[in-house]
Amino acid sequence: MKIEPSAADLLDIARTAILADVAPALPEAQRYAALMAANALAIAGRELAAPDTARMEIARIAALLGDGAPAGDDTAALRQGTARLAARIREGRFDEGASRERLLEHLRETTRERLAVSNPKALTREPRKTP
Amino acid sequence: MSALATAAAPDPRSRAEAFLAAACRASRVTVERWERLSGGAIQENVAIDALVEGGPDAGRHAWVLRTDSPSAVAVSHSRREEFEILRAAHGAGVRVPEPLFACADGAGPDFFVMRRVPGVAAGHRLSKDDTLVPDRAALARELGANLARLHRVKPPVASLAFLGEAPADHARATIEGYRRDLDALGAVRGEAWPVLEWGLAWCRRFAPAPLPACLLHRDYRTGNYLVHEGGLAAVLDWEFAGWGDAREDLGWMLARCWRFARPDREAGGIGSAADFLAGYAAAGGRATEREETLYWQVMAHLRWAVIALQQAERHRSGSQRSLELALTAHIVPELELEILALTGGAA
Repeated sequence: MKIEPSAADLLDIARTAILADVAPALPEAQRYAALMAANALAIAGRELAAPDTARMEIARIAALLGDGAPAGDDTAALRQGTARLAARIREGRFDEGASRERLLEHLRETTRERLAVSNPKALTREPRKTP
Repeated sequence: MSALATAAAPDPRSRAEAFLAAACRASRVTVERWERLSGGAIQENVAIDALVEGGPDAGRHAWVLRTDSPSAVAVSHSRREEFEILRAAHGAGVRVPEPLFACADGAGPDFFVMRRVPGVAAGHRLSKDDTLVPDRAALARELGANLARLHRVKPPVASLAFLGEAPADHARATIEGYRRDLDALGAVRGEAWPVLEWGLAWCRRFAPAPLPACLLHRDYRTGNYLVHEGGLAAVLDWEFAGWGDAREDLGWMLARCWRFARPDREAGGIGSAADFLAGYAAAGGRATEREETLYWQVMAHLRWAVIALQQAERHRSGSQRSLELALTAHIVPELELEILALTGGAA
């Protein structure tokens, strides 16, 4: 049995202590470092809580590549699939048409998942017009 | 280096005093204050108050001594080179701290000395605090005008020979450079970056016809200039300067990633794109529509993403463990979101 409170709870309370008790008492230069530390703990906490989306991402990549699912465990398959996708994008295989739209849908979804960990505030931005 | 040579090396302050005495043709220079300013990841700045006795510069002076930090980045210029860039910019009427003396005596890291300029650089303060920037339209125009003066410097310039040949097609050459950077990162990390590849493929496809090269700052943004009494006092951090397409500097300043607390103010969180571009054109810069800068805003986010990955890798690899560098990795998804928004139609 793991000891309670959990890792997630410890990260959360450590962050609260930094923000509430430590940061306000510091001069500006050190306060900035404390806020960075609090941000790092918040990111770590969100990563722990994030659902494992690897399987879904692998399936989306396999559909885009259209030549079979990448091999290996999830980590290896995701690496291999992502590398192949990146190479095909560079070759210009997704420049136009329906494949472009399907790619963009995948890239937006992946970016949203990454932002949910790195910086969820950016997700709440209003949708923007493009040129 | 032998123990004897180490012992014989002068401490940085005495070394600076001896160098400055010779450079000022003074009988003596005393550094009365020697205070390290918040350093960049690449170089260190030291505020010095110098008492010069004798010679044409006799008197007290407020200067900054700029030297390499131990963790210099390969793409940045040496201090000697940065000094020459500052001189060229100063000569063209760009607001910079006046470059005074460069030291390459071999007795320690190279350094140069420039006049100390008062002001505030912090982006979160300048974007938020109207008492620091009472007239935002005026500062946005001033930033544009100042950049136009820099862009008047065209190659070749003999003192800037170290910058190499100007690329015939800056956009395409830059894209190829970022691809090589991503390949190098991918090789050590076993990762790839599909959104950045998408952005690069888009930029390759829609690259505009190149303009004749001029001198670029390549990090001209809020955070890298000083504002004093509401006006532009000096542009700092010239270590990335080089020849290229003027629109890169415009797109960099207008990119969302440098707007700090005010993403609605397109020119660096300070003012409107219209005022910035109007100031640029009024001072002799090429008339540029905001729409034309969007391409270079995509390029700006790509560039910052590549640099962010390189910085994070310095932490991850263990070569320079740092909380700030570690967190830089988590800026990348936000840059990717912006790249998708600018290139992909409605999200």
